[in-house]
Amino acid sequence: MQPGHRTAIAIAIVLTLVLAWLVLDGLGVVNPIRDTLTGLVSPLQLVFTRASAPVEHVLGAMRSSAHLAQENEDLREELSALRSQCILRDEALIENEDLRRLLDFKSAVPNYQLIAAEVIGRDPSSYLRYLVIDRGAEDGIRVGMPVLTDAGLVGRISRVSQSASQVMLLSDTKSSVSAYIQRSRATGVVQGELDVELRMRYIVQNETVIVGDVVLTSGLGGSFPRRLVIGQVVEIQQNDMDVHQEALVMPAVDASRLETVLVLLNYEPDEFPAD
Amino acid sequence: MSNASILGVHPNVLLLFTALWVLQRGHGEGLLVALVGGVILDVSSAAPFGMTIALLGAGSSLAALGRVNVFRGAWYLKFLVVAGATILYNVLSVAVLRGAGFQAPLWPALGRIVLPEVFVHMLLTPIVYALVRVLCLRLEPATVEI
Repeated sequence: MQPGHRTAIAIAIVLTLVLAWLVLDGLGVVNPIRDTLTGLVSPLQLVFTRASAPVEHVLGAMRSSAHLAQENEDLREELSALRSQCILRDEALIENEDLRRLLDFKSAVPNYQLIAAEVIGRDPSSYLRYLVIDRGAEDGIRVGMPVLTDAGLVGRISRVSQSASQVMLLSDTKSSVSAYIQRSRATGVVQGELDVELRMRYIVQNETVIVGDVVLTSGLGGSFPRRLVIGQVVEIQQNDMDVHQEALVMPAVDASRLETVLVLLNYEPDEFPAD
Repeated sequence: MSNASILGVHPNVLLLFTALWVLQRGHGEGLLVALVGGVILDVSSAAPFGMTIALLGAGSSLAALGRVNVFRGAWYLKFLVVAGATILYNVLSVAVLRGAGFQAPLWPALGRIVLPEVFVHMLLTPIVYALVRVLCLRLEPATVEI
């Protein structure tokens, strides 16, 4: 017999056996054999599966470690970006709140023509109290214009350049503002000191001043409009031998925390010497 | 920078840095730091332009004395130099401001500004000195002489 015929006969036998097996399987005849074989093989399968699980785990970890490192890096970058976004959002909320208060104040005083300005610098000297704002001559700012916030008076413009201006704070030792006490109508002059507080001088002796009194601008002298809040009396310094008494005034505006201010454009101050 | 405060004092970090830089690298470089830093600060100040440059220059000159004395290696020298430079800077500052028509009273300033500033500067000296040393080493790595 030729080899080609043998192969053909072998294939035919195998096909016949497979068909016979399929027919017998369909009839359910081979099930007992299958069950017996399964019973013999399954413990071995279990052993192999358990033994291979750690190996598979390690191999899987090795395969995914590069992917995990990349994913970790991506997540870190995403977290960093989200943190930055959170900080920016918080800043925007604070700024929004500030601007909303200033806007409310602007609406409350419609006869004031106000322009908002951002504080961009502070005087580095320990002896001078000045701010730098981001509005200048091109925005209509002129020397002497009052600077305020919704809380009260901040100071006045002392120098103007094209796009920025310098603000002399009430607390500067050169600053002097005519003022009165709201409750008693007693007048005086509020001057800056090296300390945090301002000093209200030239209050006549027979006037009663009490701690907590609100001090406002009097408008005398023409430097500032009347009735802008300066601060509150925190201490009275009185000596019967003196002609006048003095009061320490806590400014209504904490200049060290200022970020945005308003410049009063439609007030013509009297002559104020530029620095 | 001027807005940051420690114990209610606004430290003059530039003066501190300049004085310690002079101790580490000499007067020439200290004057350069004074010039560059002084210009930046003078721009945002109401004081006469050039005042900060001049005062920092004076402070760095005082610090330069620390390099030419027998106590040069002493640990306390940098503290003395910083205290001296701070006092000199403030006294000259008051003098210049008064000369320019500002009201800067010396005696109240001494208690309220100068002494607290000296104290805070002394506290900050080790930190700023460490920073200056790191910068100096980066600019010019130490060499081993055989």
